[in-house]
Amino acid sequence: MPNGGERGPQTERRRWIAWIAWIALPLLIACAGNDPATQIERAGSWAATTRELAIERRVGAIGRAYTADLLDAGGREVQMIQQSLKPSELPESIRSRVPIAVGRLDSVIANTGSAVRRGDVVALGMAAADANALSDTLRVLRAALVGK
Amino acid sequence: MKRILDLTLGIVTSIGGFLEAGSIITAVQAGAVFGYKLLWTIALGTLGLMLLVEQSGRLAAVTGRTVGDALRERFGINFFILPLATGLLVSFLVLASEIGGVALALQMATGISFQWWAMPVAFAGWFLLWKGTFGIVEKGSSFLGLVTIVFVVAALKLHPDWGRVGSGLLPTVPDHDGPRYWYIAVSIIGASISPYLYMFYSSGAVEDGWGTDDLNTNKATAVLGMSFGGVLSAAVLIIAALVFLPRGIQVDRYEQAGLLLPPVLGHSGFVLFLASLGIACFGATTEITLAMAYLLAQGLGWDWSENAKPKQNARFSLTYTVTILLAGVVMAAGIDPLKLTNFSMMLTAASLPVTVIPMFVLMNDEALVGEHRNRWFSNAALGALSIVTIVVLFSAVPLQILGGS
Repeated sequence: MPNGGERGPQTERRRWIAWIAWIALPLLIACAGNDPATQIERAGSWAATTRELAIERRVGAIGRAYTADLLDAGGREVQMIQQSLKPSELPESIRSRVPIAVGRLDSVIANTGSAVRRGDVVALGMAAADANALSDTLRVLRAALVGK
Repeated sequence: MKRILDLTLGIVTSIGGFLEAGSIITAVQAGAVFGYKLLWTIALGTLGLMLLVEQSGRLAAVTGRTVGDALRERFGINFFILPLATGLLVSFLVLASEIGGVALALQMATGISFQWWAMPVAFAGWFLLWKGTFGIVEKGSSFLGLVTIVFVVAALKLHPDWGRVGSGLLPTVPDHDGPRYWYIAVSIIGASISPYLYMFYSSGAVEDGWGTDDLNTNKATAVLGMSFGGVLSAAVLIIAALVFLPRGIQVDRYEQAGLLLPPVLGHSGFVLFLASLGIACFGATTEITLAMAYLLAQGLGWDWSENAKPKQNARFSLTYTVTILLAGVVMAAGIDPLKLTNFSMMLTAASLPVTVIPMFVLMNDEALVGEHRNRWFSNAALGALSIVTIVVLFSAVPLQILGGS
């Protein structure tokens, strides 16, 4: 009985810790590690998003504020991807190409944003083509990384 | 004639009120990455919701009690604290994400950050609850929510391959990204079977004074309303599969979903998407807030009715006032709406056993529901759903870790 009485609060505390961990652990881990293949895939998705934004803005299908905001957000996401990519984790065959492609995407997003703000339809067409090419490049690089 | 009108109204409001922030974004994510392969989860979630809505409506019509009332009376306050606390926590997170959905729609329309819109949206929701009646809150936003039918129109315009759509209704094992596949599958189930939906439904049935004469209306509303609602979710997934997947667009930010309709419907598509997102999330905001106030009031034995003046149910009115404003503060603090929505959908899915399994007991309690207790088919279906919810509970955390990032 005395042992049981001592074990009670401990068990209770452990149960609470387990519950807190159950909720907090996923949050911590969700904010942490991302593998290079996922990062390249995300960069490719932002290239495709940029292309689509340029195309739809060019024909006036989407609002200017929306396009500019989403490009800004995309730029920030791509910069985060750029910072988190570690070339040492990439195979030698694509080690230099991935950072170059992601860096190029960052500048294409910035150029698209300024074309949107200027209302430059011609520049938007060129941005869409650039983003399309980058989307394809990143898809090829990801495939090379995952071996497909 | 009145019965037919009530029935039509019930079905129409179910359709208009079906989509919300979670169901839209999980369907978009599913279609963008896995094409039609996760359609079966929408079908499963819709069937589960249909079942729970029918049973909670039947319980209210036969006993005059809400699910909350019946849980507390049947199992006692010590047990009831578990569904009460879980329901309030999960619903609060979902509420914040719905306010985020409205605020994001306004951000996409105006360029002003969602954080600035969060408190005005919360205040508008509170004002509607304070001044409105249950009918206005439920039917008003649901009628406006019929704008979400645009997703069905767009899906039909894209001429999907119906054979492949049909095969998506059968569960399959993914050929890539397994953890993400199951993560989205569980999120879709959480988005479809939110406990607030059937808690709100049963409270609404009591507010509207349902009796045994309304059992057929209840059944038809649950089956037809939820089926058509499920079709809306499926339409969102189909559009994402045909617009985002071939273009390689995945959803890292909620705003990317704004590109869903313009390739199909041009500028009208963009405007209608914003209207759908804003209205659907605003409707859900008011319903979840009410559902939380109902749950707390029923659990603690307070007076509650959205049809009465606020001063007649002071604690009930204070609860929804504090709840909606606090949720507004959470979004105003700048939490990423997409991350919050995904996390709250996963948590909702994990919390399901707490309310689904006790329903099994309630609906078989002859002293409570008499001759209207579950038959073998309802029991078999609810039993199967209970098993699904237990599997979901134990897989939620590993999936959040492996597939949620």
